[in-house]
Amino acid sequence: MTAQSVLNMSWPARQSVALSVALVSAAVLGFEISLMRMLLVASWHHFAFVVISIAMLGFGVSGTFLSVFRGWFSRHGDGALLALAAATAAAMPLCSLLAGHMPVEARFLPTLLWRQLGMWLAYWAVLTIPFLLGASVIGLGLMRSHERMPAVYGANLLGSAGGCIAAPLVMHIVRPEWLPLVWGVCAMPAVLWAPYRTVRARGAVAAGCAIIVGVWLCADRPRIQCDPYKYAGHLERLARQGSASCIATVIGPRSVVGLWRSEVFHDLPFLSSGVAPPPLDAMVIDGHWAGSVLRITETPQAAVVDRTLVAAAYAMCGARPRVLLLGETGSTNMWLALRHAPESVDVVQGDPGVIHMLRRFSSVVRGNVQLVTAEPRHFVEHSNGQYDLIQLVSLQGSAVGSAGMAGLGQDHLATVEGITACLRRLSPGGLIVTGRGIQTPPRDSLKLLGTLIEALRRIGVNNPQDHIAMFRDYQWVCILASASPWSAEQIQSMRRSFSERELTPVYYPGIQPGELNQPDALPGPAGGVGDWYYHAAMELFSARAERFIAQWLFDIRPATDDRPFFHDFGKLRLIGALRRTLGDLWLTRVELAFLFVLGTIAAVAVVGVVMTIAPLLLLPDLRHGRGKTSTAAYFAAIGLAYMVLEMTLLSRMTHLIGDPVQAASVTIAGFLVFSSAASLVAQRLLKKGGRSLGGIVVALVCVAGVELALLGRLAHLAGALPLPGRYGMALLAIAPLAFLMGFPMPLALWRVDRAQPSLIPWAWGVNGFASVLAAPAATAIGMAWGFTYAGAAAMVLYLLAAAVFRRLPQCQAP
Amino acid sequence: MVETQIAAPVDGRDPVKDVAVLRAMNSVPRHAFVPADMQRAAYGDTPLPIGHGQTISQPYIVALMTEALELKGGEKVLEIGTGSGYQAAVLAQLTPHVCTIEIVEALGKTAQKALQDEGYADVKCRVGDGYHGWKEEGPFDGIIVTCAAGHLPPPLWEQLKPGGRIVVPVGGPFDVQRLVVITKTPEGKRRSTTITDVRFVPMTGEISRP
Repeated sequence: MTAQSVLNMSWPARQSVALSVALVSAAVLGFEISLMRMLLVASWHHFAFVVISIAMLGFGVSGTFLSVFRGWFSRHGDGALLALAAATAAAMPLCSLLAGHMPVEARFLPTLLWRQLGMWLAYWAVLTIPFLLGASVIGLGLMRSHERMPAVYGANLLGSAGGCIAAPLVMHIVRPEWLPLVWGVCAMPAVLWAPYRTVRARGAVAAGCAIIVGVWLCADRPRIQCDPYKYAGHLERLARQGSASCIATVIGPRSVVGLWRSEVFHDLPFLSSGVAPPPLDAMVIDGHWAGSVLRITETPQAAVVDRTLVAAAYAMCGARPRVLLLGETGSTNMWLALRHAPESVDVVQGDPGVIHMLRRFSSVVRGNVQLVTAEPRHFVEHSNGQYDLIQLVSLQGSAVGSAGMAGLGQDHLATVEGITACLRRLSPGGLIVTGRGIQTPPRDSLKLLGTLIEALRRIGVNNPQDHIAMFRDYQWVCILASASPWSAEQIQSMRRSFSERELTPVYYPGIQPGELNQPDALPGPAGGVGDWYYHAAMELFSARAERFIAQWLFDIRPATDDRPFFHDFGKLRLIGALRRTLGDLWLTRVELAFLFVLGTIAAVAVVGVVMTIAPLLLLPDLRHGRGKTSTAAYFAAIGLAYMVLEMTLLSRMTHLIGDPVQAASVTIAGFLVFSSAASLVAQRLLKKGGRSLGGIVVALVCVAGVELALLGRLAHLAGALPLPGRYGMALLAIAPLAFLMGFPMPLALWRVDRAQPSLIPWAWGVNGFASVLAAPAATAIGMAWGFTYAGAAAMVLYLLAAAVFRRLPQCQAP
Repeated sequence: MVETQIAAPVDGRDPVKDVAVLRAMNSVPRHAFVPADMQRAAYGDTPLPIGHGQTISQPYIVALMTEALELKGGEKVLEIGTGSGYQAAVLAQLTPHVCTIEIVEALGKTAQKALQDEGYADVKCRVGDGYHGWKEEGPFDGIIVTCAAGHLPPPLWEQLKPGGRIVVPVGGPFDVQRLVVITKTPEGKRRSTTITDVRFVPMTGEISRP
């Protein structure tokens, strides 16, 4: 099909390509988000993180695929578009079913390492297929649209935006295991709209496709196969033998919350000793244990919670405290608050599913207990209340970090800015309490301590050591912090409380060496006093803190809004130390998150290079064509820059909007919509002869620079607005940047297509691979140095792209 | 396996020195407690999958836990979390009074059969909730707890004799990072110490060699 023949096509025929592309794009993006949701339930969250890369990998490979078979696709374009659209629709449910049968596990045992890695590779390969097929529909649509390429590219972006907006809505009503089928069905109209022969022929293909999927689904009903090493796997085993049952489930875009009942549940973290807990239910979020809901009705029945470490904090509070529980996922901390006759208890939780469960199944929600559905950070920053005790429940947990299981998660409460906001909500003499599981060597608690120290300094405290106390037993360590220095009375209360509860003091002002490391002894520095926790606290309080943090085996730098990865503790030198110590077992102790990101970057880079070079080796006309280097450099640069900048803004928008799912939906959809508008404008510009990119990129870099500098402030100011207002502010901030970012791709596609159309699918592939690389690269930069650096890197890439734009192949003047 | 992996100071970790424990480790055929397809790897010092989301612990950790109980022979020992049955078999080499409880029915039955087949019929096995211990068989001189409830189950504390020891492996989702030995003083007070399987010196990133 030539450019002229496209222009000669009737309006419906021209629109059908764009419509098919839009529908498939919507389905592909919806499928991508749904796959993340499914993997969050079935496995650990960093495997869900890989889905972005897998999706983009499909886009990259589709470029190679279309390049290699370009001749065939040129001859059978309409039929191929139809077949690919049908295959995409069928592949979404079928590949998900197939992958569900593959025994992939997150626990890598040395003996099984290669077998497990091979299985994961096969698993990802199967899940890449729908993306490869969907991306091929889009790529082929672009290849066949020539003069209308910017408009079709715009349809791709607009369709993706639709999928992005629709996905969270669908997740409210459809269980995760059925989501791939929903998106397959959504892709089906693309078959009916494809520019192929008659409606009857297209209908027959769609019907055939539907029958195949239907028969398969009848034989193999979709279900989520949980990793056997996950808590959900344990629950499934208990359920099979009749020892446990799920009594309620709430589905939503944010999580799948289940409430499980069993007589063998006894989980009550921070319980130091003494009394067994009453019967309780387990709150399970995305397959992970999240909290216990005590099956009691009256406060006296909750006496057991007085034996938790956290209860010691109440000894430092006055009578009738105002209590704020941030991120509560069970009922134990609410009961603990009620045991102290509080004036009020505000319970803040961002997940509506958890709130629903607590309202429905916990009798603790009464009179002065108020449940608030809000992100903890957002609540403390924009509420006016003053509290005598703020408990950071969402930060409490056992050794999550030891295997890096939450390392890629961004937490805006556990940052210096988040903790500062909490300190500002304290009444005079009020305190913050939280805790972590003990680890050897310590990491979580030290990072938390460093964050508290930095936050105290930000509110003008010169001697943070007078405002902090730490204590522990053999399994948990608790930290208390106050905006005011501890009074003599409070210190006296601490001493009494530690002694009565048989707790081991780690630090408080005036602690004596004789009190350290007993009754629960932990390892400490050779020849030193006390355990590593005490040693670290002394260092972090001193002027040597920075040097100490740099020298510690794990990354314990305080997290910030720009680097909001509290649960990441990985350092490269950790790998060497663990290998020397543990031999083959080093992988069981390494902080997997950062290693996962680095591994993804390495794997994607290798696959990208191979798949980019392959068409050059296989296709002589491509190999001998001009402008390959500039084309590759340009499309790689804009692919990297777009995704890195988008992810940078996403982190900022999460802070502004509050809810991470809504923030992702609004940000990604906003980017896609405004960029697609730019594609349509680009089409008009091109018709009028405007082909320059320099001015656009300069404007883009200026806008990006201003936004990166001001978005933190904007988030603080606009955060108090109601949700629609925050959406509006977010979209206003995204609009100019995303609009400008929408030009580089269509302008270059149009230029290359006119000069050397054979390069189009290859360029599409290069752009896809660069985007694959961008997702982990942005995260890696964010984890190591902060998202400001990631944004700056994206700006540099755009400037490089502008410089290369002039060197792209172009039509010779007649 | 025992001489080179458990009794030797491999890398930075403390070797297991208790001769009786080393003898017990030498006597128990680990391959009999792992699935057939894992038997070739049975004598490596690594954990192995046994199905049901469980693993048989690394032999070094099993030896370290057993050593931490400080058994002299004749004591009554309770294990919470039978798993493959291997740990119970090692304990049975040291004392004739071993009780073990497993919550996953399928695992408990497989372990019981493996123990019987290997001549450890004296080991008392039960499928049930280990949180409550085994009151009828108590009190115990030593208890090994491999299940996690976020706290020490009070029934186990009650079933521990004064002077007795509880060994609790604590770690991340996938590995034992340290062993906590909780001792009940004659006055009934709790004292705990932590044994790490490796000695980290986290300040430098280097590992001290004992």
